[in-house]
Amino acid sequence: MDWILAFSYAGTMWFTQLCLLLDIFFIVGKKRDYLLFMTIREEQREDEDVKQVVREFKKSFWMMMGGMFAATGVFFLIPLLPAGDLALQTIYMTLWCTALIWWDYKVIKKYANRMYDLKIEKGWGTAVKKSVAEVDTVVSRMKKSMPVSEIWLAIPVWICIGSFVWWFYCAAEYKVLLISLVFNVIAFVFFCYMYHRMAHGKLKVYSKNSELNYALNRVSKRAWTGCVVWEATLLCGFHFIATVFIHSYMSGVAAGKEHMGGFWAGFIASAVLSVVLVIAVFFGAASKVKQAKKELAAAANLSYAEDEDAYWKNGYYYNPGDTNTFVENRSLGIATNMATNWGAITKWVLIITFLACIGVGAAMLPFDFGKVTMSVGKDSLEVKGCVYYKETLDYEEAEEVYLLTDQVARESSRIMGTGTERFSLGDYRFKGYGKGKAIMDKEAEYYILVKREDGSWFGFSTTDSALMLEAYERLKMYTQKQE
Amino acid sequence: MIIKLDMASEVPIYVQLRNAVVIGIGKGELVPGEGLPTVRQMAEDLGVNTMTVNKAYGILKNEGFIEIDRRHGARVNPQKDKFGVFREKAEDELLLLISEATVRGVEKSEFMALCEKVYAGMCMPDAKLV
Repeated sequence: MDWILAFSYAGTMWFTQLCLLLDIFFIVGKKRDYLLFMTIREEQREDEDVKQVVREFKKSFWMMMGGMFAATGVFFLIPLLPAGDLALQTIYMTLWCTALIWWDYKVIKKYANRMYDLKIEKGWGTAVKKSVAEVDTVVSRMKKSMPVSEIWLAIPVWICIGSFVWWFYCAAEYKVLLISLVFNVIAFVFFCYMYHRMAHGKLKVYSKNSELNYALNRVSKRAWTGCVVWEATLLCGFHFIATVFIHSYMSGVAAGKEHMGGFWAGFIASAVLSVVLVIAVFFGAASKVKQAKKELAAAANLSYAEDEDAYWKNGYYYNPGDTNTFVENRSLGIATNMATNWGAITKWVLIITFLACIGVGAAMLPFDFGKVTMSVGKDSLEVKGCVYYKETLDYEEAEEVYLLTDQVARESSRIMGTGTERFSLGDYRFKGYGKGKAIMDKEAEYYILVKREDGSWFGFSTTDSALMLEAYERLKMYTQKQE
Repeated sequence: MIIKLDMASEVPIYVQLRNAVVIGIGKGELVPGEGLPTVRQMAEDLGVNTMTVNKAYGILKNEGFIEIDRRHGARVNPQKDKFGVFREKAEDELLLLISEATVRGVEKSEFMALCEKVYAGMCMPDAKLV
């Protein structure tokens, strides 16, 4: 049972649940501008029917949270299964997260719809002619002055370039790190797209006063484009730092250094810090916009109405008449206009991510239910491990051969490959010997370690003890012949 | 000036945009010399194609309501009806409008009062006309 893995997966699930749990304060919080995504004025919030809807929403929400929390308990039963647990835990976690998001969406949709219907029933809604497009010519002309300068995006650009230069000179032997750096570039491109859409997005007409319209649009555009620039810089920077920590850890393990846990902790710390800072920046931007809008409207002695409730009644923004891809979310942060192409892409990315996670989980099944097999031939032996790993050894290649106990498996450290509770597969460092390939079943009685002509090592083991002894005898015979 | 377009209307969008700008100039909401948003900005903010805005601006330019400068973009520049072209056009359109009003039973005095009311809403300063 890999309890560390079980707790790390459970931690991810609890963190996801906590994020959704915080969301309730933004959806039905007393000081929020919107109640269940609808514009409900202060005096209207005292209405008994409104209170009833909110009460029922909270009840359903807490029921959902309780149910999903109970479902995490089932998760801890998986490691008790006699077979493996890696794949099953991954699949269970994916299904759990999907169920949580889906249930949350259903609850919000139901009660946002009820609140919208109630608003219409009570006659509190303003008739919005959906087909009307408005533009304030004075504000539109000054649009270019609203967002923060795109020159600030040069910082993440230089971080991305710098990370590739670092990889080329310091970590070129670890090609797997390139995936991490390419991910950084993809994230940066996404933020550039976000910046572009926000900077050039459609302006809102809040009132007949052009000065107020300009001020409100400027506050919103400046805060959100600034937020995107900060997000890009923070994510690229921390991602690079995390990659450096991983490299230090991998190169340290490969060099046989001990006590490399500090680098691993550094990686975790930088990852957690980046998530915390990203959320903090979102909070900062959202509260800044809210505060500035209130102050501006009060200073101009005007109230502005944003009665677009019809577009929010499902708990997300769907407005085919709005060309804006990203809009301010009525709960927290930024929402995607699901009526745009980007909305369709977002939907498909979520579906594909879910399927990919299930696929990854299914691909890991051989690590839970697979085994190491070996065929001993006349001139060579072939070892296969869990479908994905295969190694052939010609007897003539063997310079030294050792028959060992499980100590070699316990003391070997992984450089690159797969290490589960039962299997050691891939590139490993065998303590006291050197680096090499490993295809080892830790439930085996015997372990064979072979030194090849090129100086590398090959360690293998299967549960078939008779076959292991036969392989050892043959290898021993060849090495003695060479002597 | 706030321009409103009805996307569900049967009147083409470029015609609505052209009419909105002309009404804005007439009412004094767009003053001579005032810049209009660029074609791209106007299209982005209205959520329409740039070609639609381009067509409306082209018509406004040909009719002498705006001027388009490569450096400064579109500016309000209303011109007087020096050659009586507008008067001919207005006569044709009024003929149709008054005919319709007669058929619908609108009295001359009532029609004139309506014209007075609409004219009263116009505050385009005469002196600024080129």
